[in-house]
Amino acid sequence: MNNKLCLKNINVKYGESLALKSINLDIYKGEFVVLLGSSGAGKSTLLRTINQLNPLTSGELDFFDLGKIRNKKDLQNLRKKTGMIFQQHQLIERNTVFQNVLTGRLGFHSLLKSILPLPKFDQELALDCIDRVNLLDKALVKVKELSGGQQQRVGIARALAQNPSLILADEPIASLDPKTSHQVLSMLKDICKKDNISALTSLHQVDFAKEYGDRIIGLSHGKIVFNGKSDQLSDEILKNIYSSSPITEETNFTSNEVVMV
Amino acid sequence: MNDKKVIWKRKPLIKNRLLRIGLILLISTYLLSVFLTTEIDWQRILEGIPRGKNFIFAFFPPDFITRSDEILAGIFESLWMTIVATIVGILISIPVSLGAAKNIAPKFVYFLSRGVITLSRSFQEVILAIFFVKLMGFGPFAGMVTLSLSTIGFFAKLLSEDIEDINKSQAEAIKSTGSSWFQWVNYGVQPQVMPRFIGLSLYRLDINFRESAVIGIVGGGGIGSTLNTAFDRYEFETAAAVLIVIISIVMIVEYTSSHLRKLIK
Repeated sequence: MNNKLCLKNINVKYGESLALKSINLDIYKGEFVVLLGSSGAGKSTLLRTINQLNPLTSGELDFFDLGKIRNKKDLQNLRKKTGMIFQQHQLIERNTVFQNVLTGRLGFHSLLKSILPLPKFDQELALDCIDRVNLLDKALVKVKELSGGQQQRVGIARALAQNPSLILADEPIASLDPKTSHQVLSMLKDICKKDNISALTSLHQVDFAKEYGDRIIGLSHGKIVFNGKSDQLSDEILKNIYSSSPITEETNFTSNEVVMV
Repeated sequence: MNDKKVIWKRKPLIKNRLLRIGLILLISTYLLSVFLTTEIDWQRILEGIPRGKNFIFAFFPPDFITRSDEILAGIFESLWMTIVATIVGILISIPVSLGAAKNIAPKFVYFLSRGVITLSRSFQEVILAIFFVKLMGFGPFAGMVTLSLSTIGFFAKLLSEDIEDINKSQAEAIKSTGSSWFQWVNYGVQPQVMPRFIGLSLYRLDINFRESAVIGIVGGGGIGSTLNTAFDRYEFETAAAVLIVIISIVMIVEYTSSHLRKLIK
């Protein structure tokens, strides 16, 4: 039995370049951890490596009571117990809030059962989750008709419907205004605390990180450069996290013919 | 002050000026010589006009009554053929289109499915119909098989292209919930292509009905057979009635399907 998520010596390679370099990290039950780092530092890669939407090159994952992740079956169980919230919500926009939240229950059913409408238990659970993000009156509205903040709350409800041990949130507030950001983040944190769910959230705003994170992880060039409480996060350390970010994208100028008249 | 203006000029398709002008000259000479050497026999056209007039007048008045039994039977046969062929064709198309979508299928399955589509698309309905009429004898069953097969080529090609265009990240989120492959297809892919799926189905229903009339002429049964028989008997009034029936059914199908498609969006 295990009450934490352990990442042991994780390496991820994209082609030739190392995106993550020997990451060692423990996340405890019910802990709300924030991931900081500049663009291209590997925040998304780290989050997506945990539920292996990105395959890991080498290293070991030890997931709460599932233990070591060895095969496909383990991975599916890990995904089942891991809710993910995305920057662009990644909900099925054509479908209603209810239909989207219900997809969080898919991992718990066989194919045959999931072709039919899911059982009443799951439907009630989904409605319950929608209620917890205060969207019950929107349950039957199509997701594309909602505002950005509401869509992100649907994302939270979908993650919640999985009854997860862990929630991964990849820049969940990056496209929201400050006020809505606070609403979404505090809602996420409250829910995680109440249900004793661990969370790993990547953010761009240092002040949000300090306010909400039980612990902050600083990532730079694919390495962990800081791991500690928010009050330990000095300006010096911040500089270290954000400085000398490698230029990963080259600007391309399209050539056009300029004719002088 | 700089009074020189900078303007943007589109690059010509062919850079070499000499080659460009040469090509234009060459093409225009060719077209001109084609026009000049084509033989147009004005005499025959003039003689044809009164014959065409007679032919058109022979259609009036359209006669729905004399052969009403045959017309009705033809319509029902055509409708049966259309509906069954559309359903059968689409049912087969679903796995084929999943297989023919690059972003879903492994390479081997992809090429196999593309092969099925190409095969189905390479024969025009009439040619397929002649083949199946020879194989299974006259009647609507041969027509139905023909239409089902050509539905696969049309439907699977267009649907697979739509599947390739889905929003990957929306589907990825379904994967992240621990769903199996089939659940991923059913909940991540299917809702995204559903409007197109329904639109294509209605469109194909429309096409299949029109094709069923053509197929009848080569022995595939249905309203086309009725039309063909009427011409063979020189019963132009009945033929006119059949044409009117075909046109009105196509119009009804067209109108309802476009209306339904609007509703789905």
